[in-house]
Amino acid sequence: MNAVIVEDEKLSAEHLSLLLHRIDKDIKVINYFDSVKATSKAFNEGLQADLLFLDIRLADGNSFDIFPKTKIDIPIIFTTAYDNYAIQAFKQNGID
Amino acid sequence: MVDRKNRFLYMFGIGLVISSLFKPLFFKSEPFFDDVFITIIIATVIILEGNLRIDTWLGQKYSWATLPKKRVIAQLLSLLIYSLFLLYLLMFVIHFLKSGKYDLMNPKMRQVLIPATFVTIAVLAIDIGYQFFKAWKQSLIEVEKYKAESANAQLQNLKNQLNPHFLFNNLSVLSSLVYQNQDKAVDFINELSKVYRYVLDNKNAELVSLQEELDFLAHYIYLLKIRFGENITFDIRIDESENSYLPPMCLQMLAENTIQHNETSNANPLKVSIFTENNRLIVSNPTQPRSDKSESSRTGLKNMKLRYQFFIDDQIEIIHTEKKFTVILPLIKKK
Repeated sequence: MNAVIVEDEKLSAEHLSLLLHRIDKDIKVINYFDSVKATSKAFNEGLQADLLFLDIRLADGNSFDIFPKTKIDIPIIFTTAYDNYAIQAFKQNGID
Repeated sequence: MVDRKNRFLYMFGIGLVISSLFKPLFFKSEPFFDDVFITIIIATVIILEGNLRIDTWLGQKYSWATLPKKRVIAQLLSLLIYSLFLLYLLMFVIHFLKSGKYDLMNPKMRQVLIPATFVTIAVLAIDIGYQFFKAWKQSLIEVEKYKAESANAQLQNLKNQLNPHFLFNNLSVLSSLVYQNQDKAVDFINELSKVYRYVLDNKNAELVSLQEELDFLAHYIYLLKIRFGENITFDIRIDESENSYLPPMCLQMLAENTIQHNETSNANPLKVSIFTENNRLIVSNPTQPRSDKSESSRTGLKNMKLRYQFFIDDQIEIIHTEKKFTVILPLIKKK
């Protein structure tokens, strides 16, 4: 399974990757992005993945800004420290 | 104070009333409207205008709040002498107009001037009492206002002392670090504890030295660098830190602000400059706005301005252009 991690803090991304590796060695993190722009660009250019880990506060804005510009039809797991974003995540069809 | 035109109309009205009252009282025999009637009006206007001007002039020299004793004496004496002298002059002119004689003192003058002295003293006493009361009330209001502002600023300051997310974010970083690099994790804990130690130590401090703030900032930046790596850099050039003070945590707040509002990505790292120039501390970064606007910092800057107001008249300057965001903090000198 190919996963993409979008996270503005490198350590957190690495940590998440470590956790994923521990759960299942078959989960491969194929890309890291830290910004709305980089993520949008990659998916618009046809990046293929099975699962997206999406932090909400990114280096250049809020990850909800990705959706108007980019169609992403793979499952998304929102990862955030900000609980007030949860409601908005549901509205974007996220699952808690 | 009413504007000029209204002021003269108002005084003219008073003159009219005084003239209508005094004219029949002291110049019974003559017709009601004559040159004397007009002279009284003009004199009243001159006396009132002069009184107001003396009052304004004294107001600049001795304020009620700081030099009340001097003000009372100066106000009473100058206004009394001015009013009585003009009144005397008025009587003299009227007498001259009517009889054509230069009489330095005639019975009518005595008849008018003695009661007029008492009336003037009474009016002045009431006026002084009223002004004094007004100044006292005003100063009470100001004290209350400052108290409220100070309490509010302190509260905001406490609230802003490292927003709760700061601890959360850092703990989350720490939990990653513990797995990956134990030595670094220990350093990180030390730096984090130094940051909190500074906050606790300076919770009640009004001013801290620039050097202390810079040392604190170094710990804070260490934490940021662990989180954001090369995505944020600080260029710090401080030449003058001797005898320079500022309210605590201003620097940290400004550093935090830059991250709150700007892109700090791998593709677009943020470079923050901090330097001194002409007794000012300047924190500047290129404007690379995030697509989501966070609102929090305006209150932070406002609160910082408020905290500065307690110490100096010099104000914080915020220059926001399309290319650059700059905050200029005056450095406070202790005598």
